[in-house]
Amino acid sequence: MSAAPAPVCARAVRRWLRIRQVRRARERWSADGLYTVALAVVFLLVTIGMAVRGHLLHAGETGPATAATVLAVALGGAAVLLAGAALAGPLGAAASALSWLATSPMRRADMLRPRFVAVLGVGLLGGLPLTVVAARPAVVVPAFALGVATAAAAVLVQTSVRDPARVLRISAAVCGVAAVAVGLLGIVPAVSSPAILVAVIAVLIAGALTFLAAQRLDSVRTATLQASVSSVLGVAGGIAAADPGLLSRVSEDRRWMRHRPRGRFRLPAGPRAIPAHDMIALLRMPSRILLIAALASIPALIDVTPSSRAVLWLACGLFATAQTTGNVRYDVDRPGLGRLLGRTDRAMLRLRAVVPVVVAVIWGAGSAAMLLWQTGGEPAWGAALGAAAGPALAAGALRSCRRSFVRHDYPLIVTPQGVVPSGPLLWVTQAFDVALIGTLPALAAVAADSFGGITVAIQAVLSAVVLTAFLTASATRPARERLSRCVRAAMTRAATVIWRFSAAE
Amino acid sequence: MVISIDRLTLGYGDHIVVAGFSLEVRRREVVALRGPNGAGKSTLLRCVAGLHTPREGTVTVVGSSVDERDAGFRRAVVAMLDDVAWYPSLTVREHVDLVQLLNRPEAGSWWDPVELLELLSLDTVADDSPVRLSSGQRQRLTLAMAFARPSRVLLLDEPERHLDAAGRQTVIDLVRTYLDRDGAALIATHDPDLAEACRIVEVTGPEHARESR
Repeated sequence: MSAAPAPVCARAVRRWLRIRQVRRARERWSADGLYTVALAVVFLLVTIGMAVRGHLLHAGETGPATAATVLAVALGGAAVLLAGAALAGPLGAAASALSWLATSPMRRADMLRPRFVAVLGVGLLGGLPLTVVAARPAVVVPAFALGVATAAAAVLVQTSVRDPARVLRISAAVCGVAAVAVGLLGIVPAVSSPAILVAVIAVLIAGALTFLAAQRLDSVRTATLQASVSSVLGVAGGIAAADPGLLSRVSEDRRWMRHRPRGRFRLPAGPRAIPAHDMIALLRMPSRILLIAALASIPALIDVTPSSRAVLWLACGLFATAQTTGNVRYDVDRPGLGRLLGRTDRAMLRLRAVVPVVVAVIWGAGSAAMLLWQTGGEPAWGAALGAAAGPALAAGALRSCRRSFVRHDYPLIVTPQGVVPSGPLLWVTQAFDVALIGTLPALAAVAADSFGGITVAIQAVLSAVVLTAFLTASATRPARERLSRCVRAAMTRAATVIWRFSAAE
Repeated sequence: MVISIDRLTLGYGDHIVVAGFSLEVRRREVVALRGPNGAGKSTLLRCVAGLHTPREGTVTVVGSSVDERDAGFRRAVVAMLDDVAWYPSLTVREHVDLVQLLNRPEAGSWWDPVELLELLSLDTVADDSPVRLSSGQRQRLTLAMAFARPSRVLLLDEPERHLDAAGRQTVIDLVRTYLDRDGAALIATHDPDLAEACRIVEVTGPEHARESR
């Protein structure tokens, strides 16, 4: 038996690859492309720089942020970095490189070192928001050190545990909850140490974590690198296609892939089995229930104008109700299920509407009651109006999850204000149109801050009509396509009319 | 006749896949559509399932013309075509339970979910999500769902896909039992053993289709 081959010099392999990549890039990139990218980068840097400058000038006038705000931003920044690390690795490699470099006799640490440095760089940038918010020199070094330490800790987790994504997600959630708690309660531990000592300690911790992470680069598992590649590819695909629907499909699939179905449930016999399935899906993902509850408080907590609050309430309602419509998306994406279950599209959609309607009614009642309580109104009227708007919100959420992919091949609409791509516009409209029409009385009431029995009655009738019309009209594929064609034609007509009016003026 | 196909012509755009195809399937009979790749077997099955509109000719299933939006048609016909069909939020056992509870077969008249899971060797993964199964196990799950509810017509597109030898034999056994329960089946297959257990109809593209046995 021959001796094991000596490790290959990674630098030589990387040089070999770089030469070919540069050659290929030269062939693919035109001067126009490079100019566009450079312009975009300059534009981005100038925009960020102006925002930072504006904030610092504002801070100079109003005084520095409170210690609680600084701590909340620090924890929030760490949460964002850890969540990003959970999604993207943080260490990874291109799929092509991973398929042969990771299994080659090359030192893995050498292969991953450039990415490791990039991850630390991202961590360093992650400290920027904290320095801007704090707006005081004493925080600059600890802020950047915190960013680097978080990035190094994420790499350390990836190289040390079997399921790093899970650990990183939990850590991100803990940091996020702590950030919200500190921000809301304003509780900060008293620190009386000199700024220079804090900076030195922060740098030492960041350095130690970086050193430990660099030492362990060789022990990262191929499986974790592969997992990061697949998730990055999924997200990149969604972004490249400019299709949030694709992103939500990828995220839904990945979410279920991570969870073993918890609990044993007994499904009821008959059609009730379908709503029971929706309830099981919700109970098996408790984070969604928390998200729905959290979304109910957002319209009351965010201080905006009444009309913006109405729009915010609608958007939150749609997002909250959409947490219960995952199975509707599967029914649309996998029509074979209906054929095996022995139910038509129409029957399935009606049965699938039960849980979203119930959730939307409860959510609407709770959120609108909180909204009125916050603005000094009568919460009971808010609860009644929100509950009445529930079925229309559910219709909107059902419609949004039955949308097809974004059609980038649809024509551009030219208006005096600029060019509007009709495909993405149509995609966005399909989420809001039904819900907007169905909740007009409630939205008008929120915007005008005027509530009463007549509004509730009108809203209840309109909700019932909109939900019934939606369930009847969009149950089958030909009907859905007909509806899309009508909406598209109406949009084009509306755009033409606007254009003519503007041109006439 | 349970399935009656008369001078059927199918195509995509200007490409004709099947021309002038006729076939009749009686109660308690299983027909295997056999032929090379691209001959039109899957398109024929999709047409009988109501998913592909014929250019010419007629298809009737259980005495009525095909309409996949009709509740009666959906109840009578089980179509297992080449698409993915499972929910990640349910376990394997719950999939079979869901199909059966929705359709409520009379006690003792149909397979019990536990029996189906054992027959298809899914009992060991019954509490897992389909996301975690191998491709062969997912095929077994889809088969379990296809056989879990009473129906009069079974349409199977290459049910042997991803299955090992034991799995392919189980499919043959399940189809035989299905016929004993008054069903009729139309199957597109490349498996010689499964085809042996059926009346074979060769599908050879737009020129002609001939019956071999």
